[in-house]
Amino acid sequence: MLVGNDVVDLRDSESQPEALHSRFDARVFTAAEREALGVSAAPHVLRWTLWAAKESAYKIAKKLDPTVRFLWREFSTHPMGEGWLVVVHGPHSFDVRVSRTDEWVHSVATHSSARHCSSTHGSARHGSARQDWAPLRSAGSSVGAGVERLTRSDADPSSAVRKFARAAVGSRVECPPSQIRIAAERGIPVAFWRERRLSVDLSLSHHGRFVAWAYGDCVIPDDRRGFAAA
Amino acid sequence: MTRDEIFAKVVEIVKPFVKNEDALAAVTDDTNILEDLKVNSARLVDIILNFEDEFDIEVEDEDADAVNTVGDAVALILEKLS
Ligand SMILES: CC(C)(COP(=O)(O)OP(=O)(O)OC[C@H]1O[C@@H](n2cnc3c(N)ncnc32)[C@H](O)[C@@H]1OP(=O)(O)O)[C@@H](O)C(=O)NCCC(=O)NCCS
Repeated sequence: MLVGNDVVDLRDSESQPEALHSRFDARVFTAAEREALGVSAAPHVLRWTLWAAKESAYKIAKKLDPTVRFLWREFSTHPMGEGWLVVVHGPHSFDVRVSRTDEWVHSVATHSSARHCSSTHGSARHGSARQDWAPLRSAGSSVGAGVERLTRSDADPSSAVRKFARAAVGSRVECPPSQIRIAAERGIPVAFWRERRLSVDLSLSHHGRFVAWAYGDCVIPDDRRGFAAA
Repeated sequence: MTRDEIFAKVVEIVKPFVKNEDALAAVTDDTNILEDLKVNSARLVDIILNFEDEFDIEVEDEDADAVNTVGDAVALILEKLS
């Protein structure tokens, strides 16, 4: 299961409608998306929901095909239900779950060739400021994701999101976060346990006051036991 | 418009969206807009639209996606103006 995620700080000054170029919507959104924005009671939230959905899908599309380009309108969004969209790009569909508070929008896209567009996810559990998704489990696969608020001590969002992602992956594979390392391949984050690449797909995002992470299909290494406590 | 003038205008357009002031202070053609200047990807849309307005050009989405560095932006604008 491949994952992509994106967080948008809804109160960031750069995200406000008056800060956007007057042609922003026309450039980024399809006709159907613009129509939805036009009739929405909360266009600000919808705008960033659609953006986050596109970007989280793009992050997976780029993993499937490194030559993929982020041509915004070619990632079309299709509402499926409350907090659930499908993003279509060429032959691929991406299942996107969106969670929001008054402060942020967080989208988690998943893609698996056999199961995409299915509704096999479990339900997400949302807290308030500190939100975690219980791993969304479907047959043989699971997705974990979370949003965290940066604190004064988090000088660098890239480091902060890696700290949270290491804790989440570590907890999933029952290893201390100190044994998890996150590196990048073509900018895409990859996780290692004791220098061995973990069988987990990872996605990181940061914007404004928030950072977010998601992982998919985290397989516990066979020989992990015995090392975990070391 | 000379290449240097375009470079200066590009930097001026990008500047409001930059999160890494140190990288901006040392900006060159090779400076990556997203990775070095830490511009958020949504802000790239505004930057591209501002290029269109400032230089009276049209930038296709395909062209926009090829803009990684400040030098890429300058080259694209030079090409569109020629
Ligand atoms: C991937 C991308 C969309 C993320 O941009 P963003 O919204 O500014 O940043 P986010 O905080 O949501 O995500 C950043 C994280 O995505 C991950 N990432 C970077 N490149 C990635 C890629 N190609 N695929 C998947 N994930 C990627 C990294 O973990 C990065 O975190 P880091 O900077 O701490 O290493 C952007 O970097 C990108 O490559 N855009 C393509 C170019 C583009 O936008 N073209 C449009 C025309 S101008």
